[in-house]
Amino acid sequence: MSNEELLMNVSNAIVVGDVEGTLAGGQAALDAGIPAEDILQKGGTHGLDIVGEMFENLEIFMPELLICAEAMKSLLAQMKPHLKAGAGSVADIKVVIGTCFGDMHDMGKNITALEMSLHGYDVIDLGANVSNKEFYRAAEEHQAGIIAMSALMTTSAFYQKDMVEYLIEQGKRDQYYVIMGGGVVTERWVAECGADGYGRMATDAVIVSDMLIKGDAGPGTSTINVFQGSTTRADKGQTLL
Amino acid sequence: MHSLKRLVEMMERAKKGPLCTEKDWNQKVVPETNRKYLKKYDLEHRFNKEEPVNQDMALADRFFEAAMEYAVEIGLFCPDTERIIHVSKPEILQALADAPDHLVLGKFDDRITMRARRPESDIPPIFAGPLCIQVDEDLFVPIAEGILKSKKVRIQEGPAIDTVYGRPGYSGSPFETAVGIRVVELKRQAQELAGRPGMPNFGICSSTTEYGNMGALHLLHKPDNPAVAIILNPSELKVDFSSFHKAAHAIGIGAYLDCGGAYAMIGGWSGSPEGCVLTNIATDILNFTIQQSDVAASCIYDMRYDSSCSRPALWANSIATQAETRNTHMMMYKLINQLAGPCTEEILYTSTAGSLETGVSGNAFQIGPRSAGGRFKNYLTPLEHWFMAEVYEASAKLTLEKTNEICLWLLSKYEAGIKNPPEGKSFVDCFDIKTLTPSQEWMDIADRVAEDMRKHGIPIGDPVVSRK
Repeated sequence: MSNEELLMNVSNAIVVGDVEGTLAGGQAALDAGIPAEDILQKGGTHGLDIVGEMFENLEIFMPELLICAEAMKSLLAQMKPHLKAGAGSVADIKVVIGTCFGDMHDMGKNITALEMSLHGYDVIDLGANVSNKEFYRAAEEHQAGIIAMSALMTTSAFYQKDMVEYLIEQGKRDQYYVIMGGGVVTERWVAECGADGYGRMATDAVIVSDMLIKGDAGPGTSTINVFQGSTTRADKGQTLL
Repeated sequence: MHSLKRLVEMMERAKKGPLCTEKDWNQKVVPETNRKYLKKYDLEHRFNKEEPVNQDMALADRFFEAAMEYAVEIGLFCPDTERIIHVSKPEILQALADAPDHLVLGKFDDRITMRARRPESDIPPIFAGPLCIQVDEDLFVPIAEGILKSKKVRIQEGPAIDTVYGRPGYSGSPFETAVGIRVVELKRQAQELAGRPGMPNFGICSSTTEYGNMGALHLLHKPDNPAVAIILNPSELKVDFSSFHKAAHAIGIGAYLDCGGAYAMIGGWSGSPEGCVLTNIATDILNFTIQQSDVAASCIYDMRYDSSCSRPALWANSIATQAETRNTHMMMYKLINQLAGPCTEEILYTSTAGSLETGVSGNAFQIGPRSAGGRFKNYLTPLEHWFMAEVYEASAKLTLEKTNEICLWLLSKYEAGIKNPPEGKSFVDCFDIKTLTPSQEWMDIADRVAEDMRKHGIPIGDPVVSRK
């Protein structure tokens, strides 16, 4: 079997959410001497691209995405020991996610949690109506890399700004990337909050997180905005839009 | 008649019903039960992209029959207790029989009767506006007064404020209670200035949790002008304690109940457009049974665009409405999420598609529009409300077949750009705050689109009310 076919087997198993098939395909690819990085990129991520296209065409939906996420997670865990130093995946990054206090809307947050999980992040979903204290405690307890806050209402979005201020007061702003999204959340609001990232759609949150984690800028130094896949970046002090 | 005793019985079921984690509910119970009934009633792959307005009434009836059985099996989930509230089919049938088929609202010249409608009904549906879109406190009154200049805006709901005397109105805090009270003051001012002190009211906008409603609904409610409480559930097939708080309070003061705001998402837990139709109908009939809704407000969004105006969402909302209005006398609306902002053609085209599709399918009323998807503060102007009110009433003069033809044309105007809707302009950038008249640019856009509408058979009057 050619390397292309071996990688295709991995992609196909991801697409149908077959954990055992993914692991078998991953092992076969490793045995054939394909680097783990290539298996993740040309097998796993390629599979996710197909999954994304199928979702866009309404061929699969959130329940199926969940199954694909499990398959992708299994591949990430399998490849982790074989990755070269410095080529780490995001699987080590814990994301604490929730909808802000006083806001019961959970769909956008659920989709974002799922997309991040699908792309390998270790997601701790705190649910809806989450106080800033709960966000902070969970981030500390799990040693999170990212705090992701969703708000559908402007009156709950105020807590997003408070969260950043609270981290500054606690002397912890440089420990956590804070990303924001939700129906009423805009690039302008995120800049005003001093957050690290904004994503309009769930998939945008993944792009933002990838850029933050793989980039050089530490928490609290710049803001990345992603709107439907298009990215802009603003250093602190710059005016957006 | 509402019954507090019956509501308490439902609250008890929320405390004692079968346990289920929220994760299992979202990821297993809803998708699996949904698929089971789609299959059982042969409802899979029924979305027809050439019929954004469904034409098959037998199919609509089959969806209703399936949704009834689905509702009995699944019930509503209470996230606060992680328990399921089940109701029996006789309980649902009784609740649907008890639901009002008309409501008399408002007083003086603004007294109206909202009536249950059916597909192709010639009873004009009721237009209400604006939605609870956030505006600066000092712009609340002029924006609202401007909107109320159109007599076809027959009920006032919003707008909303997110500050109170300049301070952030944090949800779930005493600030929210104060915001609720302030909103009522501002609504009264706007209605007085518009010469419409007897207008019917939905409220309380800015009540993200129960605090705003419980702090102020009784101020909005009058025995001779009953208010309608907005009770928004967290999502499809869910009811939480906050909603029960609002329902109990509304029943206690004698107000009417508008339960919903729970959107079935195409692409989400209910999956396909067809799955969302099932879930949407089930959510509505369960809201009437469990919360004693007088009117319902659930709808179907397309998760890919956060819009109810995509082709599959138009179809899904149309057939769900037809199923409900052909088989019950529930009065409801399906929220339209326009995404584009004021001073754009797109907001008018999407408003028209959503208004006609729901109106001709039998909705009793509509609240809107959600200018710019509600994302930007002060991005709403009176003109898109005047326009939408004209179009919505015009739906009573159309057939399903003609509306489908119109919606296909409208989709050709906006479908390609639905993923990147134009932001448009804020109120101060395209409206004169003193004279409450649109800018020339915004008027020209509305005139051009209105002319386009008339050419395609939509019988609408002059949308620029300030010119009349």
